[in-house]
Amino acid sequence: MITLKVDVSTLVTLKDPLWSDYGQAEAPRQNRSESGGGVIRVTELGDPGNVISMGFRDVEQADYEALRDFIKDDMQYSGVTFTFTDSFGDDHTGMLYWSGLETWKPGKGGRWRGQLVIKRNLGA
Amino acid sequence: MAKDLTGTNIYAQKEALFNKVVHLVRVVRDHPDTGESILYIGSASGAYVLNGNTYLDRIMPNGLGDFSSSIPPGGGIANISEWTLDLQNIEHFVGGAGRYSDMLDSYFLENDEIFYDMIFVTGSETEADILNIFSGHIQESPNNTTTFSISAKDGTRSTLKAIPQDVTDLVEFINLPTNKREKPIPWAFGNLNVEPFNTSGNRARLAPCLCVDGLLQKYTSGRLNKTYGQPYTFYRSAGYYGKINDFTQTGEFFTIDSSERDTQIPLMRALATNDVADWVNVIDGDHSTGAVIANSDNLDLQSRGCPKLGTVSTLSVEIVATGGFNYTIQKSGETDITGSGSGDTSINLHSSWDFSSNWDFEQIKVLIDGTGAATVYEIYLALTFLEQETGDRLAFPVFQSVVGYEDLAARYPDGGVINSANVALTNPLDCLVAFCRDDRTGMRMPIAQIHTANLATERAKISNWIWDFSLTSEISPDDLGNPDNGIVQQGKIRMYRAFDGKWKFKVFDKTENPVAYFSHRWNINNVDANAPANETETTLRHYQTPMGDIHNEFIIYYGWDEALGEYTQSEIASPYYTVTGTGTLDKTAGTLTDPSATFITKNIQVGHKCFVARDKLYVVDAVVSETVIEVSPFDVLDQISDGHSDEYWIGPNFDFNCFRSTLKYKLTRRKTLRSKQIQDRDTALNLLEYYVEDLTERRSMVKFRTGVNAVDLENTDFIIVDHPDLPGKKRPAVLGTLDGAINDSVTALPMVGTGAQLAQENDILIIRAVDSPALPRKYHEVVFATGTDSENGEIDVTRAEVGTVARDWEAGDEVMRAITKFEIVGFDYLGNNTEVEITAKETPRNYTRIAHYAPEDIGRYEDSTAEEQARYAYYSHPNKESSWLDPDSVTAIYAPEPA
Repeated sequence: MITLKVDVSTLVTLKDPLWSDYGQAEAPRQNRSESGGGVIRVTELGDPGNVISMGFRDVEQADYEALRDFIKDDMQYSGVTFTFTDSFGDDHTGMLYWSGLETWKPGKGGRWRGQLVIKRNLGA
Repeated sequence: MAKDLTGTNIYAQKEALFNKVVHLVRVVRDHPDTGESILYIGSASGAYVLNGNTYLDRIMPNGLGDFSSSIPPGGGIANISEWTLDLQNIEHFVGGAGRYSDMLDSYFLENDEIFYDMIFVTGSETEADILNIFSGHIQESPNNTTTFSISAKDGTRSTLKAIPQDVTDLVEFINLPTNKREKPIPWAFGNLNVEPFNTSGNRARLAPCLCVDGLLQKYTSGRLNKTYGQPYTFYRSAGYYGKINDFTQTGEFFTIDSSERDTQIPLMRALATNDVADWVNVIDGDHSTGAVIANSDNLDLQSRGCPKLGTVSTLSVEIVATGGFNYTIQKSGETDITGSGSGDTSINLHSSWDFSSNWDFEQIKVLIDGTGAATVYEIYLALTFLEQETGDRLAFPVFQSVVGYEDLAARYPDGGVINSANVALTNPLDCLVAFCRDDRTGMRMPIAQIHTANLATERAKISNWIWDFSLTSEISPDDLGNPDNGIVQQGKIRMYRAFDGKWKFKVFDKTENPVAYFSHRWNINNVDANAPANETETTLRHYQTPMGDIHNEFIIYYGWDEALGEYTQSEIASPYYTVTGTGTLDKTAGTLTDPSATFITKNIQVGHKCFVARDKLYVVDAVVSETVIEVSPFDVLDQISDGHSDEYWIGPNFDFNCFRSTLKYKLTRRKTLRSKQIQDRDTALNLLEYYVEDLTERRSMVKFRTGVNAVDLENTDFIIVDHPDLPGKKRPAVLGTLDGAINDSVTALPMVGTGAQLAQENDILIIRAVDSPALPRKYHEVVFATGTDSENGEIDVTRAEVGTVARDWEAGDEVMRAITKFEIVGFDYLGNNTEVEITAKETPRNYTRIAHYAPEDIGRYEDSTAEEQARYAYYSHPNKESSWLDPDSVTAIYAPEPA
């Protein structure tokens, strides 16, 4: 199970995603330049971010509606940061909803499928 | 020189292939009621804390504006662009404190200070490691829903003011003439103390005076002179000065106490009865040259005239002479005055003749009859008269003999003297700094606004340059820094805002060493680091100075005479010649011989310039015959190239650079320079040489990007650039190869063959690996040659120059010589990309002639005969034909003289 939690009493849980992409970590803000001879210089301007993408399938309608309402009302889309607990039980704090709600569709048997992209706010 | 970043972590961090940078912005917000409140903004994720201040991450993506600065290519005052910053304007990002645009309710941001800095993050950095990129004053602050923008203007230009600042007013000068109100008080520099009637025949050079009290007849030549001497009136209708006999000097002002004046009127011409050939020596004002009057010789001369300027008090004929003679002074309608003299003789005319109605001095004839061996040095009329003063109604211009601006600490708002206490400032750099610092009539800059650490070094580059002048009308900052012959440029000076926010002065010196090395392999960036290898594109652009910048005929007018209102002297550099041919030089005889020449017929004169191809410039000392002239090198320290036979050109003002320019570019374009600062001929010639060198050739320009490794550079720095897109002649070229391996501390480079002989002291050399997997060609080390050891075949060097690293090198590694240097004329910091964009202009060569150009048909050294190799140890560019017309083509040195 994964959990999206604004505070101890404001949270939503969801079945484990079919796939998730933790490796899609946003690279740190780095400027890279290369000379004609292949000498590469890297100047780092900021910390690495963290973008997590997940894909879900066969989600019960009630669970989808709970997720949808949580994003709309409790997270106010990207308005409120939350803690994301992943399938491994690790917490990722300072996360923001970024995109994905628009991809959710009902499938066979009334179960839903869709994606979720969340992103860590480095300023949080 | 580059920025002095001693004591910071910048030198180490900037060269690292990986570093961390935070951009910092401080906005010093101000409200008259609440005072200052500094806003700290940074580019680090979240927040960056330094010295107790938290710099919040509020900059929009790509929200840092580019910083751009440039200097006019020929010198002058630098320009710095406006700078912009875009901040996030969304409320909750500000932690609930409101949007940035809400600041406009609480603060008046107009002209508040803003600072844009950068710092390398190591974990142990301190405030001392901050490097300022831009500091200025906020101008505009528009916003929209998401973005709050700030634009700022560089503040240094606002410290420049029109000078002289000290002007007349009716409070201090209650009887100020009407036409003298709000006029600058003159500001004199240098030696304006060559008085009229001097016995050297020199043109008078005095400081102009301003009448500040029409009733008291009170004048000043300036408040800040070192000395105040004799004042004079100048009569423009007559062209004579009148010495003001009665005056009272009180401080920096003097009053004219009577109408009595002295003047001298030179004689005009020889009469038909004159038989003394050197009679002109007697009227030239120079008492050291004269005419010998032998027995029965007749020195018969006519006087000049003079408009009636008042009432004659005394009038005499003055004869400066040695030995005895008889004289007769004649005037139409008057009885002759006769007598005899011995030595200096004064003959009273006023007691015998009437000048109450007319000053018909042109009717006076002076007839000297020789009675033995006499020498007459000078004859003139000495006149004392009561001037028909009109006072402030129609005042004659008044001048004073002065030594100008005195270097005193009390003259400046703070800080010490500019050069040396109590000296009169004449060096162009010192004058410019005085313009900036003087507290009374200058720009009143505190010492904190002036970069002083390099002034002594810069002054030494033009130590023999002299300015003698007076500022009598307003000069704006734009006039001062006019890129086309402005005052700053006339001292070869560049004036720009240094990284520390101070005004910095730099004198152009083509022999200056570079401070950085850029190569396409090492640190010149490609456009896109993500591009595939076969699609890479370099950021370097090569172009040339505009065709319109080419000039090849120059005239500089100097010797400004305030009394005459015109320049009195000029120097010319010209491509025009009177004769050309092929001649042979003889060092012993000091001659140039051309059996086919007709020097006399062609009217070749002493003083004409003579350039010999593949050699040097000479001056004609004598015309011996139609085929022989005596010459000496224009550079008095040089020697005649004995036995050299080649093409030559002779002309009054012939300059080989100008001539070569007309041949190369098929055009002739004149540049006229005017300098009111220069009275000294050597200074005028030096300035002329600077312009000739700069403008007779098109200069290569380069523009390229590099990384933060260049943050220590600034405008006017010299750099070396190597890139395949540069013409071959502009690139460093191989001098030879190492004859053995060396470690990173060896200071004598062993060279294969005669390679060591090809280097010279002060050469800039680059050691580069012959391509190998272990040490590919991009690695290099710049060294400076300190001498050569031909016996051991070695070049003595200093290692690891211009920021390069000393390495171990292998036998066979290449040693290249960089002949071309570039001066940075544009420095842009692109913060979003953390790149520096440099624009640089090729400088004239350190030397365009080493000893002799190699003959036109000589190829590379290794292709020449043994005799040629013995005669010329030389070097030519690898892919260019030899052409003595082209200074980039072939340079040569003679082999060392046999022991």
